[in-house]
Amino acid sequence: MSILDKIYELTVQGNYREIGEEVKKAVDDGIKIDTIINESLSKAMLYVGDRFGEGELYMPDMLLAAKTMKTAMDILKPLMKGDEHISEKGTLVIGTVKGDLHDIGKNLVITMAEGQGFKVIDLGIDVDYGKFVEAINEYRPDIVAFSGLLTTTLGNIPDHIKALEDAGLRKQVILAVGGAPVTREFADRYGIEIYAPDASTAAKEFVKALSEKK
Amino acid sequence: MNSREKFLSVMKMQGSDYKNVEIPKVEFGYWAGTIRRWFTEGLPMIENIPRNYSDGIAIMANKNIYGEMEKAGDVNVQPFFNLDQYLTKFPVDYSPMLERKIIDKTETHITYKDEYGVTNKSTIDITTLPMEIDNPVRDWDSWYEYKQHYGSETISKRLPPNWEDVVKNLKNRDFPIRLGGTNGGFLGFPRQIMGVTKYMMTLIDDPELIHDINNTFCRFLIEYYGRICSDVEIDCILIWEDMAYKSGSLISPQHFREFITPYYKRIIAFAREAGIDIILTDSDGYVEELIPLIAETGVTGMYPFEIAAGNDILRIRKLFPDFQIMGGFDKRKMFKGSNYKQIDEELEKVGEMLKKGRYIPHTDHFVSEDCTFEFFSYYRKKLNNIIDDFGKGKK
Repeated sequence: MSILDKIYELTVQGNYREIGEEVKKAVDDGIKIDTIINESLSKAMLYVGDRFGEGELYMPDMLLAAKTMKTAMDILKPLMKGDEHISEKGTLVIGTVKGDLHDIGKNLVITMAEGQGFKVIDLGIDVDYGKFVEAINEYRPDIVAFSGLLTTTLGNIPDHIKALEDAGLRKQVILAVGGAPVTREFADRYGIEIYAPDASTAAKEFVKALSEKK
Repeated sequence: MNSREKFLSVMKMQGSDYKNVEIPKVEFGYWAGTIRRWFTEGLPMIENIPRNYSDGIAIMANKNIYGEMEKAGDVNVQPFFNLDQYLTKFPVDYSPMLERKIIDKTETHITYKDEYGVTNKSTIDITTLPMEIDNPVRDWDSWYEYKQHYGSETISKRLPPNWEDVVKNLKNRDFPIRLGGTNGGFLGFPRQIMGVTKYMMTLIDDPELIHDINNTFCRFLIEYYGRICSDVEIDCILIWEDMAYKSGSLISPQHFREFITPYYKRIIAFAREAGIDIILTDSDGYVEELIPLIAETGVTGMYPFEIAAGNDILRIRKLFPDFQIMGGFDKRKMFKGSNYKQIDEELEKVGEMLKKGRYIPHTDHFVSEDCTFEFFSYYRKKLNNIIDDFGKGKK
């Protein structure tokens, strides 16, 4: 088994204890960091995400795979040399909507999006309307994603959108929404381009939306 | 029949034979904000919602029978619609009974440690579910320290202080009671003390720790419940889990069988010995794939079957003909912007369910603030009529 295959397997298995050693070995063998990320880590996360979406894997598997990928990335990022960089598919700004303090779903989306090569700006929880506006001005993201767990805070999403419209930024970004009470109908009602029922689908929809945009 | 007799008659009915069966007219509960809103829309106020209750506090659809040990129960909706008393919770405390402490308070947020030792952050008026910031059990060492709070000597401290009065009052009661509630399950408890992410990773990372937590909790529950059952005739054991989200179960069938099934079987064996043959599980989310796993342990039913999560109660009834089902009326049909036709269509499903038996209809969780009093009234009155037609073999 090649070292890239081994890293792929360890990520799928969620073996965060052994991944570090293998990743360091790969770097020592002269394998480019970008290659390790694209050929092993991202592919593994895509596989885990697909099997999760199909109901073959469950949340514990996803969480451990995500932890394994993060462990690997934490080792790889500081090892990047001057001319090396992680090729990014696009930039995602994400946050839990105003009034909502929950972040498990949002964090899973971040992991899956990073696994697919997105640069992610995490605005955290209970994000004020103006924070999304500031983040768009600062980072010029391709996609802005709203996460919400509570039915009671879903009502704040139209206000988030209005804040973007008032700032003249709505048409500059693709909007996405997800969370327990969110439905396709809800997204359609407010003209939100991307709705995803789970983190894995969200990452795929982000990739799809960007390829359609280009 | 009184509320208790009606509940038991449906739960124990054979097939769809409504002879000697009456369906209780019940609701699961309401949010305080819902009832406050309804006061402005036509619900006569018998007693105002306590001022210190934020809109996000749950109001159970039953009388408050235990004094200060329980939050206020509904006294306004029940008489207006002539409802029965819902399956009422017996007061239980699964926490290690730690002191609640405020850690930080700003103009908008409050951070506090609760009686489980969980650090939570919430909006200042606690209108939404808090976010867990830190959980007390992280590893074997923290668990060893924590489990000291679950010894036999703690049982008597967990009983209502006016125990003899409670026992006496419950002897000739006219409503059903359940033993079990929030955090009283074998996913619910370890998740509460470890946090959801840590819990789920520990299932794979350190399975023996989860087994030790569940073994300890199971032994504790059997002793605690045994003490209560020695004095009070309990109608139902409830195992609270909330083990699903809108895409399905949080854990795999393999993990369910490994980490949940053995402990369910022990609790159910205890229940049978205590003469309790109604064992329910409470879980939000999409639960269909969990039902066979739950049913094979001996659990007899479930609620509240959230429709927004994708549950199809007619399909579930077809797949599991004997499984007791409560709830399943889609609350979204009563949201502002809905209409009578949508409510009628949802009620048709209820009618179909009632024909099959072992079903108690009510809203699929607490009635939320988005539900208008006009639509709720329409639904509730019509449902009462449907129930009247089914009761006493009149269908």
